[in-house]
Amino acid sequence: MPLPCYHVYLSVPLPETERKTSAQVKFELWISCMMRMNEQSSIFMTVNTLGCFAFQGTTKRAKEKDYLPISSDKCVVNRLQLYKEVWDELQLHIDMLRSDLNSKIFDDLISFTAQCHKARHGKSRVSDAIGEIPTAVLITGVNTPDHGIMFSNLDSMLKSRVTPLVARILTKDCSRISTLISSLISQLTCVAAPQEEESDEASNIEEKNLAGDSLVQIKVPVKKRRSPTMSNLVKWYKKEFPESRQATSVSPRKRAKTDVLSDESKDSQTPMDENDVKSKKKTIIVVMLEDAENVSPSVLQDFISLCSTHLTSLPIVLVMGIATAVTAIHQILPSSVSSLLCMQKYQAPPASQYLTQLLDKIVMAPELPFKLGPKVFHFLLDIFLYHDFSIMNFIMGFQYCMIEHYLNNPLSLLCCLKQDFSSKTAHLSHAQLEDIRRQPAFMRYVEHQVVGPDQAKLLTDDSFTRTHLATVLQNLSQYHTKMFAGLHFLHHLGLMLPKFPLGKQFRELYSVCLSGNHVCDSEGYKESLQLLRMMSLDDLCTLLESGVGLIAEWKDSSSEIGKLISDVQSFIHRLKNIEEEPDESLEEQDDTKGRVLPQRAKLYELKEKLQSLSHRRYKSPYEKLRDEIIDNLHNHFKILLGSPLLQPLHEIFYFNDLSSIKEHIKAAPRCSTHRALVQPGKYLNCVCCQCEPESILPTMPDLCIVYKLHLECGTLINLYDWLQAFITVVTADEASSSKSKKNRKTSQRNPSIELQARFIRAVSELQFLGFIKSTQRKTDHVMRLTW
Amino acid sequence: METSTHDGDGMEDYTLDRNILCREVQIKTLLALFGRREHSTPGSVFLYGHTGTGKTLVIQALLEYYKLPHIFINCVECSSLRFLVEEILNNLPLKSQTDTGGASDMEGTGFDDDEDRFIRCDDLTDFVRSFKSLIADSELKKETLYIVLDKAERLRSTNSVILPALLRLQELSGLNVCTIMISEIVWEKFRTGTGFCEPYCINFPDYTRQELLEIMSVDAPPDVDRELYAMYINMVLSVFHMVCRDLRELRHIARLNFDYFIDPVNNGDCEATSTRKLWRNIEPHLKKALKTVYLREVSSHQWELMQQAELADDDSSQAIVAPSRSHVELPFYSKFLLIAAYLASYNPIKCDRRFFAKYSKSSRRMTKLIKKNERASNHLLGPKTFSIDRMMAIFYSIVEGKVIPSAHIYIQISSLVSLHLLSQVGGEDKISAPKYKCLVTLDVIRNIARTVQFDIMRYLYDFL
Repeated sequence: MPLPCYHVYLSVPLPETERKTSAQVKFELWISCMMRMNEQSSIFMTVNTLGCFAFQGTTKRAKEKDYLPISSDKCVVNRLQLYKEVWDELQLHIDMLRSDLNSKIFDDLISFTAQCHKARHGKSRVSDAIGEIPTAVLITGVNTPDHGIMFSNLDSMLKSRVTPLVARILTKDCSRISTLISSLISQLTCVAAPQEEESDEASNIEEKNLAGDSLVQIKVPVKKRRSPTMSNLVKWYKKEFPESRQATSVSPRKRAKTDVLSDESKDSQTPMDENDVKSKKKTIIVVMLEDAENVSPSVLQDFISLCSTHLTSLPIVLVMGIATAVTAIHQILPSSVSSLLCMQKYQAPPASQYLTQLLDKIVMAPELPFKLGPKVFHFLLDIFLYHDFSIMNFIMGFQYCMIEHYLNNPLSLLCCLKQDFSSKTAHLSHAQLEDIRRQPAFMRYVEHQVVGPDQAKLLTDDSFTRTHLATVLQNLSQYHTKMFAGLHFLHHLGLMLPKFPLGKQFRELYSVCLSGNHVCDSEGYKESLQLLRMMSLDDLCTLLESGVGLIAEWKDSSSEIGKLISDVQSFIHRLKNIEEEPDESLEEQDDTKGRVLPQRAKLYELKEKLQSLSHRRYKSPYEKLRDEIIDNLHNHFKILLGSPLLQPLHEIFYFNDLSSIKEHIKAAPRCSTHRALVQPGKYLNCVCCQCEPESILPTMPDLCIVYKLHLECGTLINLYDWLQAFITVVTADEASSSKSKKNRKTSQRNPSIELQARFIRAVSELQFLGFIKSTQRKTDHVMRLTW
Repeated sequence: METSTHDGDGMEDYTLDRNILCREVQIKTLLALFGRREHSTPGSVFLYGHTGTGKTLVIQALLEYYKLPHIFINCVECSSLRFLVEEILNNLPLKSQTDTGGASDMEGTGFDDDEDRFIRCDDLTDFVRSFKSLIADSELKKETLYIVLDKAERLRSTNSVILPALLRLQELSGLNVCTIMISEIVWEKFRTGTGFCEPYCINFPDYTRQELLEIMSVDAPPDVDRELYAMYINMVLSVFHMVCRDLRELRHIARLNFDYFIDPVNNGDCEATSTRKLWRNIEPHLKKALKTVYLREVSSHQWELMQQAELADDDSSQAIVAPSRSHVELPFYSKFLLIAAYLASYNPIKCDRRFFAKYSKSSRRMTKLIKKNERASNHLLGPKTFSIDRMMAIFYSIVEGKVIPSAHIYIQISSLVSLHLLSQVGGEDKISAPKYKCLVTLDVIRNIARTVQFDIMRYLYDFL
């Protein structure tokens, strides 16, 4: 960090500061802010090894009020309240989804940890001597920010169902073997003996912030005096969890404690364990290495060999989180160490699967009021698929969009759950209604889609507006159920087609629908209808049947869906009894005479004849029925699948303001720094600096001038030339006014101290921002770092 | 000799109640060195041999069997002088404690109960002094005290004085102490400084096949006939002895595959005596296990289901299935970043223009000229370092569409580093111009490139 330069900035006296415009002062403030944030901005500008898909700034628990606009406006307060209600509802869904998704793998893992040491004790002494540590390798996928939540879930599940002795080892604890073991010991002893903490308050109490997401906070008493070794842990373990034969010699206090512990574990035993209770049961120690790849290999090797030597006295189970693939373990560990492990592999469901479920349940659900518009939907999806695979970031982005929607769109007052529609509209105050009426979206609606006397009424009559809004909301929600049912049905049909013209995932179809055009106009839709027209009888029959089953739950929601279902069911019936369909081939028999080819004909006559024949190709009853079905379905889809953006007042539910969130979610610090330095006028909003991006004005801040000049240079920049150029630019005004060439030349050759100081300061600021650095390659040169 | 006091069976004795097999020679030597309890022994003994040759097992069993006073220390956790000497001082098997038995011993040395009794010590002089005074006060001075240091090779790196001091502990303290060191490397590699007292070296040679057979036969589950199990072990050894002589690994394999072996016998499909039939049954399993020897992966039910589901998924979407073992699912741009890094690592800088510039004069004669001068394939030389600028330039030229250089892109680079797919070289210059190396293999990168429909071979200089 080039701090010395900062000193230069402070110590060089600048007599002319008072002459500067207020805008320039502001600009300098901004720059110094940038410098203070250098810690963070450098992460963005260059690369830091620490940030793995990090979402900067979310860990800080700032107060919400600081960020929200002043809440004197009652409407905003109301809307935020509504937001909280809706978000709580959403959060519930997300949590449920999360536990559902991981339940399978966690159940397996937990039963493994519960079983592995029991099996071991059943066997002979010899198998103990092999010293294999039962290890569960959990392959988590590359979306590292989500792992914190996953492991804390696993942690709490293990604690409640298997053993109280669970330790989460994080990468930062693993710089040395002693720190690793001390972290392990402190976590284990803390769990088992919480009441002993008080006696140690005099000793060092260190607050450890476990997990980057600050989910868990544990106060850890650290004793400097005891050396953190495994043998000490063994002693502690033997004391706290004595085996049955030793239990007699334990003091009553401790026995009570261990009884409590064992009772707890017995209570929460799963049925499969109960028959094993009789066997000698030890309290298992589970050690979770969250990110095994980033633990330094030597430390991990030492730790494993230590665990294996103490395995007879400490029943340890390792859980290793691996982000990439199983082979990573063998890259880290030599065979002498990996032979101490007995690994069971578990694969967490991939993030994309998680996302699909999340989208189905939350983003593309008709029940939830808030919806993403096409642009925002694509934007969030792209970040996930192209950039980080992180569910957490996706949810955060979604939440941000939601806040933005409720904060800035007065119409969002109506964006509530379905059951609240009538009460919400009924309780709209006059001020709120006025607020809504002022919205351009509402104006558009009134002007274009309402006719007759209602138009005036909507703008003046409050009670009429309330009821009207209620019906609009009802219509929208009706429309949503219809649309989603239709989309699901169409998607189901599309899944059976070769090459998936409608896309494999439901979200692809949904995004087509969102995009503003009618689904029926899209290429994929036309292609899939073509393909459907070629389907065999059996396939079509089963497809329709399963499709009807899929949307049956929406049957009663609207008449259109009911009609679709009844239509399809009648078609299925007809398909099953295809023999009863009238066969037109008999009627066409008389035509056959005309179809006989003339024995001798000219070439073009023959061609015409053949063409006409092909037009009137014979169609089987099935083919006719199939065409009928497809046409019918097409009509249904036309009705059902209108784009949401064409619905009246869709702005209530849909958030499509990409520009307001883009900068926040997908920060491009390099671009914005560049823009600020090249066009300071835009940022400072001052008259003197307004110019094209290419030109340089002497009135600009020094930093901008220096920056613009350096853009014209190559890798190495000569400081003297740079200074000359700077002076030429800065003194351009004076030179043109005085017009004495001589004067100008002398000023160039011997620039005043003030100009030199200004130049040096600008250069060091540039260095501070990370655009240049000093180099040893050539004297009086600096190296350019960005391109 | 100590032995004569216990029983006079001669041979039987050297197996310590048949707990230790095939190590008679070593045990005999050790016992001869130890002598009676009060006899003076050599100051230091050094045991060496490959992993899994029974060094630790023999010494531990021996000391336990004859109930000799000893301290067992694993040098891995005693990473500093202080840890080591405190460990020794605080764990001395003093008579007062050993008399009362194990339970109270553990009671006394809990985590926080005995802070007052805990001895602090951080230099060797102090250590020898308190060591002497502790022993002199107790009954222990009448007998030989054994200090066993497992994985003694670790001591070489901690402190240059500690090794000579421990070897000469008998001389320094003037007490009847024997230091036993266990290591996997030979004594010659320990001689780095001065002041060494040569220990008595005992080698533990690798087990022969016959010995392996004998030892592994002990693992037989209680309900299985000994003969049958020995036959099974023989089959296992016939397949694996060529590739693996590590006892630990062989036992692991034998235990894993025994269920397959015994199944037909239990089901009644096959007599326990029909060797050929049993062999034909177990052979494919062993052959399969041969591919995963040393991997230590017990495939679990969940994993297999997951893999099958994934394979089925892949089959339907694309014809080529990536090898599942090293398959990593990455975000779209991460894949391109990794490809760019690979290209930057394995292509010479001078040909970047040819591959990535839009209008380059790609004359064949030039390429031939360059090729001639090139000595070895870059793939044989391994990855080269590259600056981040170069990688980003390649990235922008190979990725389709316009990518904004947002923070997300830069964060992806660091996450690739944390996944060990890239590595940062020369950490001191992190802010201005970091340099990287690509760590993935050609196979992996080809699979990744295939998933994004990028023909990487066309861009690799070595394969032109």
